[in-house]
Amino acid sequence: MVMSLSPRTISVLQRVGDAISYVCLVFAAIALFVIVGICGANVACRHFAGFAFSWGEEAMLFLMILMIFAGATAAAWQGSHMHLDMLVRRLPLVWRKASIIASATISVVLLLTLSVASSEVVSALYRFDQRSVALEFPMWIPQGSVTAGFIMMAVMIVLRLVVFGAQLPKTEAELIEHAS
Amino acid sequence: MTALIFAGVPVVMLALSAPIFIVMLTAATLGILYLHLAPLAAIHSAVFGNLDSFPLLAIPLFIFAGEIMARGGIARRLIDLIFSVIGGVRGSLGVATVGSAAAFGAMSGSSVACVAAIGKLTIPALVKNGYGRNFSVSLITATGVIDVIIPPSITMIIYGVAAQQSVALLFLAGIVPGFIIAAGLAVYVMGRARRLNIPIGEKPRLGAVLLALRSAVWSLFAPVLILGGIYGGIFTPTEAAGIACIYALVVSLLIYRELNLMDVWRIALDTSVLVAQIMILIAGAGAYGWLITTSGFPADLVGFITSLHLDKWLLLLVINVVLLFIGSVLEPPAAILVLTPLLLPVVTEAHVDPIHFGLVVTVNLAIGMFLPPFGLNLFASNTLFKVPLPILYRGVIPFVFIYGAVLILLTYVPEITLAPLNWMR
Repeated sequence: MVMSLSPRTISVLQRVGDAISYVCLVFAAIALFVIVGICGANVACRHFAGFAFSWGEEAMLFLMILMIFAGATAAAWQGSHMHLDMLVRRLPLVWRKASIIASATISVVLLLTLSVASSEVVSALYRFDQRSVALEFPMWIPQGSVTAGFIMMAVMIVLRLVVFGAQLPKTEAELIEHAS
Repeated sequence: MTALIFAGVPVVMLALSAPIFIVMLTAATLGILYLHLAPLAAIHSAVFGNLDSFPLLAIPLFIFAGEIMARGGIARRLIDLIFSVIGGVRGSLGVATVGSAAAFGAMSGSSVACVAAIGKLTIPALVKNGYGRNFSVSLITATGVIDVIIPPSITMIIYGVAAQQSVALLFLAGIVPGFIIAAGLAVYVMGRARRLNIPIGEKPRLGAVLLALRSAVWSLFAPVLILGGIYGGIFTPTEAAGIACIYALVVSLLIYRELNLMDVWRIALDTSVLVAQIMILIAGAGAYGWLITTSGFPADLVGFITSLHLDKWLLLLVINVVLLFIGSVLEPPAAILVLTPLLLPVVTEAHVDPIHFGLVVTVNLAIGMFLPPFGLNLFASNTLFKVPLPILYRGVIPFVFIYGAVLILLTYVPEITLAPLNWMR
């Protein structure tokens, strides 16, 4: 698969992966700042103004879930999801590549299967217009971030395999060493 | 077949280096398909339901606060203060290294980052003072895991959520064990310095201490604000994490001025990945844990272990060995999420306090992070400081014994963890 693509195509795909990953991280970072803001405002209002936002908890949780799946998409592109690679790193190159491809294939099949099942829940929530208790926010949106996250992670795993081939990602220590 | 799905498939997939959350989701999916317990859409509900928990919000917020403190000068000033205060005794540099790792670890969310930051800062000085490179790197490798035990600990928050226990009480229970481990390490380092005949360092100079203290006043107030706020009943642990973020931002941006807005933005981007790496595990564990519980496996396990009529001490010993092994191959969040639904019913049946057990789990997993041959920090130090693994294996053995001694004490003397709780109650 990798052999049949020209370096130019791979370079374009890498830029696409980088861009999607960055956009996801921007969403996640904004969500993080909003969570901090709501949390601080809630504590301040409760102690100094004698009231609290009844919707604060729900809003922060929905933002956190969005943040997790957006960040997880970026982590899938970086190949930095927690995994155990001490055995694979000791395998001969051919076996190592085979295990990485097998792992990626299982991941993609699973994530796509789960996204289909997940979309059934989300579409039901949309049809019945189910809303949250305090914020009265349509529940299909935060729950839909799970479905979207599954799909996006599958896309990024495929993209990573195409662009970088069957390579193990750098360890955290290697990244720190590289950065310094 | 059930055992193959719950244990065999995960082990094979872990060996294939599949992401751990994928491993848990695969086991849950296969389990649902095989046992016909629910439609596949139940996995979606388990994933969302597990994340939709207010105490979990503390994790991204504490990680964000820790990253700002680590990069914004708050942690460094605390370390400078520790170095200025500890002096005039043999081994003071080593003791200060232990103190610094504890202080940095309490703020930073990553043990590897702690090893890297403190190691780069202190190893040249330790080597120059005659401690030897291998010992210095081993010391950093072993002390870097103390962040798992000293509150606010991400591992404890995850245990609190998985075991449905109070995070505030877990933090409180972790203070004494954290200090005992730090003290044990300090005593060992001083003994080692005496054996190596390392010269006694300069006595602390009042002027230097006051200067460091003045500089670190805002840093010192951070733990006071977090822990004081929680135990003073001013805010919940989750809110404390949010307040810690705001405090760290204000101090780093406006008082110390070591960060600008662009730096904060970069930290937020980095934090987002770190948070996702941990929280997606919780999502996967939600589905895996739900299936394990629904299948009745924990009840069967409790029945089986009860039928063995094991003494409580023996049961705890066996659990400690299992946790040490698992902790040396899995990161603490993953290990806690996989093991808590299985082990908690077993120890509850044996009348072990769940908060006490949380600390036993936490200390085990901390030791696992530098336990030869697979501990994560060993590989980190090998990469960062270029010390061969066999030398590191030998170097960390004394530290394994120190942590192990504290673990035994903690396991069989629950008052160490529970006394502050009883006092608080």
